[in-house]
Amino acid sequence: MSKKKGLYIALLILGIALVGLQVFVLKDIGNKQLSGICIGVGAGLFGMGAGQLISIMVIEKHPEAKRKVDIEAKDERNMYINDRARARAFNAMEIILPILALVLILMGEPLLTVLLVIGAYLTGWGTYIGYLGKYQKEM
Amino acid sequence: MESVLDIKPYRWYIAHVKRTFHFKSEVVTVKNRIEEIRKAMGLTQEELADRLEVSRQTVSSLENGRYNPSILLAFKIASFFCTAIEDIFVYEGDERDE
Repeated sequence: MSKKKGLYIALLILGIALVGLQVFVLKDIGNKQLSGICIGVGAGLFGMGAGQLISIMVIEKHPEAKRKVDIEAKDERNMYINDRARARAFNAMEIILPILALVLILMGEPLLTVLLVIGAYLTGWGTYIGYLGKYQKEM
Repeated sequence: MESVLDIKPYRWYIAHVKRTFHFKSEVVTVKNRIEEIRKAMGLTQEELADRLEVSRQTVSSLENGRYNPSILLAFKIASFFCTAIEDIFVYEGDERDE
């Protein structure tokens, strides 16, 4: 069994366990927040694990399809397109987040909410500057 | 009278918005003879893509001049066609240089 398959089986089991925890234990305690987190995360993990496992099983049965999927994933044009689109999306977030912070201030939202948005904006910039330095050294 | 939009930070912001949301193509491609050589060898785009381990769309984009290959792929193509890179890819200068 491949490492990937093992990981997805573990995620699937964890998802079922979280949903089970909510259904059999937390339902009676009445903690709505914790119940919501368990159902949400559990269902997400179950869906992801099951989906990935099915795709791995289908691909294992059809090696030619696996080769094609690998070629599509490693195709340099696809990677280039993906990188460019992601770079544009980052630029768009640079525009959207300050506007969002301004709107939140004008709406009179609590300072913490505004600071969280600004924190997200600065994290994006921090990551960008970090990778700039890394790639400057590498190339 | 100076408008609010002429203040420097706003100008930077507007320039950034324009850079982000424009759809004009920036790619300057080199001409190539891939289609001609592929057809001479009697290969389909699908077969060539399979041999080069790239997607069929990549071969199609290369032939149509919409995409420049990396130097590694250019070497791979030249090696597959048993020829030199400069026999396949022709650099005719950047239009923006003129």
